[in-house]
Amino acid sequence: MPLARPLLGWLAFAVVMCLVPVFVSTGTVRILVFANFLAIFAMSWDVISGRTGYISFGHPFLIGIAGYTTAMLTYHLDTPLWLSIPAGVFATLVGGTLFLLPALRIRGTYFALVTLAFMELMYQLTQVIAPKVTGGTRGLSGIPTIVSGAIPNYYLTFGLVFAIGLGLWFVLRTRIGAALAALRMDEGAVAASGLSTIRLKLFAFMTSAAVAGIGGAFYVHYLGSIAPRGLFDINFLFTILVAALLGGSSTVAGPILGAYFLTFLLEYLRPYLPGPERYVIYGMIALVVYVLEPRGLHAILRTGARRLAPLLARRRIAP
Amino acid sequence: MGRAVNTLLELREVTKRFGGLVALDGLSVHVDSGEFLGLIGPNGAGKTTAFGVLTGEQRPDSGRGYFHGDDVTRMPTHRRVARGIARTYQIPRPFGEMTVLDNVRVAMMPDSVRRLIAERPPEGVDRELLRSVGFGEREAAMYPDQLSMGELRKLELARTLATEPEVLLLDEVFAGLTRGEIAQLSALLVAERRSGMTAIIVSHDLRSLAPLVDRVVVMSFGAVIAEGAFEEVLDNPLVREAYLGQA
Ligand SMILES: Nc1ncnc2c1ncn2[C@@H]1O[C@H](COP(=O)(O)OP(=O)(O)O)[C@@H](O)[C@H]1O
Ligand SMILES: [Mg+2]
Repeated sequence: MPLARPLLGWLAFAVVMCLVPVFVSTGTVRILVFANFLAIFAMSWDVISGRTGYISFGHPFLIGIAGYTTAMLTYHLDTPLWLSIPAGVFATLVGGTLFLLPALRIRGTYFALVTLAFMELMYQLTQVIAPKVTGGTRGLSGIPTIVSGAIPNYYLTFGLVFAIGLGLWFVLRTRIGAALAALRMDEGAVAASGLSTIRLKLFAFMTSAAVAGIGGAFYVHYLGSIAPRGLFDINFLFTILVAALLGGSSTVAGPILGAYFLTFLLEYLRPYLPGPERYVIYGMIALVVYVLEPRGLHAILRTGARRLAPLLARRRIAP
Repeated sequence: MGRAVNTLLELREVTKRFGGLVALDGLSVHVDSGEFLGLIGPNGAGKTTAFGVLTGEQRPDSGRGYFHGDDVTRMPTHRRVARGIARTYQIPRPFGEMTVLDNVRVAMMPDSVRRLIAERPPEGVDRELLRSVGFGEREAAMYPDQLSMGELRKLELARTLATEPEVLLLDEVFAGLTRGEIAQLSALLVAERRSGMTAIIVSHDLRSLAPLVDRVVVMSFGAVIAEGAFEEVLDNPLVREAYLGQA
């Protein structure tokens, strides 16, 4: 696969996204910060679920581990961020190995349900066990932030999206990407090809957990607070899932695209539908896109570009 | 002491149950280095299950498996494949959303995440493998659902060869093939045999199997009922009974 074109695409993406704050309102920039976080979570979800077919319903669990770890370290022990954030990511890696346990024996719906149970368990634990440490139902607030203001936070989070996206893209375009896709199609046949399916799953789960951990830790230090209600929440989980599927799973650009699209969709629906009905609407829109093109927005844009390219070229040649 | 030194792959006294059903009933079978063994028997005799136990995809309830004299009974499938045991499936199992070329590339992959990421795939070997089973550029770009049964079986063979095996376990290689495809595949197997490969071939098509194998083992109800040279085995009254019994 030639490198130049996709790299040019990444470069164009970076340039456009860096210029965005110049042209839009601060309010929009703030929305984009959330879109960036959603993009990170959706990329993370896609590494495990889109690539290997192990559908995770427990991503808030992974995100929460990093979030709570760094929140508690900074809140109670005044741990510096350069230490607490890596500690949070590390804790998420450990949590990610927990996903491997059910994945040794089950896949599909059962795997999804077990990971959902992880999330639910974490939700209960944060409230029941040592509420003094976790902040119980109300969580912790007054957690240090890294930068302040919409625009610095935008550049920080976009930097994360870009670095993670490009990193994942570089890794997953190698043979490991094909191996994970094969795992999704027929695990037994992968083993019969001489590959350790456990090791491949572990790699996917660890990569996914690392990304979720980075996102979760930075998210908490952006919000300056953490609370179990909003985090271990089905709506949050489905927003991540829909962002990845809508954008196009098993790609890197897809989940990013889906996250931006979905964030703005939810935002523009807010004045008309302030309550949770919004989620019904976005569910329907996601469904329509899915029916039109199961590979998501990413594929729709790709096909569009392929059709448009010759037209544009012709115009350029014409006098 | 065990068998003669040149025994390559062996099952000893293997029993495998599925619930109340005894699929393998104290089965002992072996193949020597460089030998082509035919494994025949009526439907449900346990041939496919025996392959599963040999590759580690099925865990036996009792009995042991040996490769190069080493006990491999508890060795996971991917490690057995890495050591040189490769199989095809009675119902081909290609990676459905990948081209023929990518299917073979998966089978060529090293079992190391680091190497999968850091190393470039060896160039040319993939296409060479495809050519060795008679696939050109056109077939390389096709998807499994565009292939005939004969082509699917050739793809299975290419994938097993891609793992650089010492012994091939071929399950119902000729099933669903046309006369021409059988001739093609037979020629490929003859070439493998000449190059020193070892194989166990399961087939219902005894006429196509006969010229390929040095020896046959006949299974019925999970155990061996006869073994030896082709003609003498087919004259065995037990074998006739087993085959007539299923018709
Ligand atoms: N996974 C399984 N679960 C239950 N029964 C099985 C399974 N695999 C095979 N069997 C049964 O075991 C017996 C042997 O099957 P098999 O090894 O496929 O025979 P063959 O390949 O000789 O036709 C059959 O009765 C079959 O129905
Ligand atoms: Mg069979």
